[in-house]
Amino acid sequence: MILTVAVLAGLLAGLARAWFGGRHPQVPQLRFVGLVVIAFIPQWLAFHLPATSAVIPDWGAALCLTFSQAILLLFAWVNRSHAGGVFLLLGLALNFLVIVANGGLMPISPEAVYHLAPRPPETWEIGSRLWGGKDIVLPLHATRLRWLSDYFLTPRWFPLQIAFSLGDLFISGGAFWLLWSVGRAAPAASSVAAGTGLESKMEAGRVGL
Amino acid sequence: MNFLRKLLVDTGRIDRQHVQLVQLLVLVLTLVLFVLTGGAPMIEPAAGG
Repeated sequence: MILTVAVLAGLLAGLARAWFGGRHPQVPQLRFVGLVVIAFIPQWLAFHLPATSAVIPDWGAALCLTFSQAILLLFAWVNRSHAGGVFLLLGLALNFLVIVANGGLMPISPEAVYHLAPRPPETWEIGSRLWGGKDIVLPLHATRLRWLSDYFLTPRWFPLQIAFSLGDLFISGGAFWLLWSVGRAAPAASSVAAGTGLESKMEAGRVGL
Repeated sequence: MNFLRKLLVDTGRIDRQHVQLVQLLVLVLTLVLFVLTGGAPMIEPAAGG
């Protein structure tokens, strides 16, 4: 949800940038968008669809998450040249690293869980998936790459209590930047020609004449 | 994205002025799906897990 806010904020900022600049939006041409849909399916089955998520064991959920993240990494790699693409790739890679290092699920500490839901601990236990989601409750001393896990917390005064990772921050920033680029000026015809080598060919043609 | 443009414009289903709007919609949906799938924040249960 909080990541979706970053997307919507980026969209509004990008459209406002285009509008104030008196330009038409320049939509980046992402490649292989179907990979994102393919990556979503295992997570949908493992975490969102009640009929399947109830029967998929923890190891199956871990497998789904790892496979899904690997597909997304491929998508982020082929689109890394776009604005914000490196941030998307980096954020995804950081999440992937900590997930793989801890058995296929995103670790979260008992202290962080208590921060999210200060209730008696009967609703969760150490070493198990948290509320059927992507996280596994692990003590910090047992967490590999703890700084990449869901380690960071929103302050108490914040309206929504969230535990998030460094990778999540990079992904949010990358998504925002990509949509911000929608409002950029269209590349000049001369620079497009130069980028494709067309300008030098035209010049050569002129000389030849 | 190029495939989408060819499909919509070349078959006459949509005029060129509206192609960018469709492409922007596809971009936003792709990014929403990307961040939901690639990100892993944990939100307090009362707010929807």
